[in-house]
Amino acid sequence: MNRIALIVLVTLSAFSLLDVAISIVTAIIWRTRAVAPANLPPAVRARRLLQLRLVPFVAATAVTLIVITPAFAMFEPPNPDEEIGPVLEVLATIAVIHIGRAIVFAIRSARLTARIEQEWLRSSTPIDASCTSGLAAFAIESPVPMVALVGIFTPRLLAAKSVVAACSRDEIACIVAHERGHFDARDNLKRWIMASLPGVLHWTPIHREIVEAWHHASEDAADDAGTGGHAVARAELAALLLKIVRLAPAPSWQTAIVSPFVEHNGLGRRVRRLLQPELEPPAPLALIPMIAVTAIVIAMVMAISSPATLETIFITVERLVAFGR
Amino acid sequence: MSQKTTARQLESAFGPLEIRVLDALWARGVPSCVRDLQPRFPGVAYTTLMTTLDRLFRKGTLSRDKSGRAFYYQPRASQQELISELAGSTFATLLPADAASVRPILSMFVDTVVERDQALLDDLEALVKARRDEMKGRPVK
Repeated sequence: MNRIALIVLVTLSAFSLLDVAISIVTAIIWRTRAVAPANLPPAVRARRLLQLRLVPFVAATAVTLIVITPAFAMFEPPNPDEEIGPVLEVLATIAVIHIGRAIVFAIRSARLTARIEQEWLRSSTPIDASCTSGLAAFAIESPVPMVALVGIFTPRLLAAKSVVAACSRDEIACIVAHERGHFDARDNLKRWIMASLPGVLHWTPIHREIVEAWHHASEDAADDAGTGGHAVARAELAALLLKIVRLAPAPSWQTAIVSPFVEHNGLGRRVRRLLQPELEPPAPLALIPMIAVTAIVIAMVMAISSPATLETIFITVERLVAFGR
Repeated sequence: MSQKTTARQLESAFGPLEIRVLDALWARGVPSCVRDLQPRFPGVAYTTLMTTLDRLFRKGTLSRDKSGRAFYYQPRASQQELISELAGSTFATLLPADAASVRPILSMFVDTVVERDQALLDDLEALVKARRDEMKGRPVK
């Protein structure tokens, strides 16, 4: 096997191994419920949940590309001419499967989103720009009274004509303010990234749990952004949510077709939160995660600046290359 | 529209167990409760079957009536009606066969598809009214 191919295999295998290890740590941290407790403001909760979900991929990629691959490339002879063991092959294959799935999913969901958006926009009319806060907003034909921010990079607000007709200008402004919260937070892009991340965590219930918790937190954060945290505006938004749900016609097959991709907001939970007299207090500084990240960065810098450490890493990787041969 | 396409669209809208439950209800042809369907689903827990029926009801696929302590479910349309409805839906044709794994990227303002529980909506509206009254300085009932 030539040197380049061996380095690629080692890189993929190292990613696979680190991804599993860091995913286990992430799962344990998630289970402690310490990262995003319910008493934090939702925007902070959403940010921490996103960071937690990104940790396995980002950390595994960073350690692999900054420490392991350079260490291996530095000490591996120019013409290695060595056979690799089955463990390395299996680990590299797993990494290729993870990365392949992620790329395919990202492309397919982006294409599906674009096609559905085009289909909805085909029979749409623009919503009065004076109440859309700069968002591109359209009234569409829909069997259910849906309102959604659709798209990944430049999402548009699409609202069923039945909703636009039933709502006053103030109510439409209230809807727009909520969706503006999602737009400004780039929630659709974050949703897409989280769903597309390669790694073992994607295949576990932990992924679903973190994404669902993030989804609830981001909805609450958009509610807060839209209402500015004012008690009256919060109560009006709660009333508007119920009004729109009441607009839904009798259940039909059409709703069954739409339902598979509707993420359920937990209407009761959301309305009750909007009616609470007090918002969550500001979050204290997250010292432990900051210290942990700083320690990891320092360790990585020390590792790549110490030839002895790099050589130890190379010897360990060499054992992995030969394992099972 | 071919059988294959129809099956694909059916799988876009419903999970495998949901399709099996629908098939069982169409085959029986009469309103059925969980206990009536259970013999056709060996290995499927009573609660799983109950949850699946409830989910299909919430999706609008089944209607239900309470008799005694049990709910009796039946499809709102025949299999043929479902097929023609799916075939006529331009939206359904856009969804891939594995819609559960590949989803369009969107942020819904509120879920109007599943959140249909009348009692829940009434309770929440009472809470909103109480809160509005409270803010206006009126006594809360």
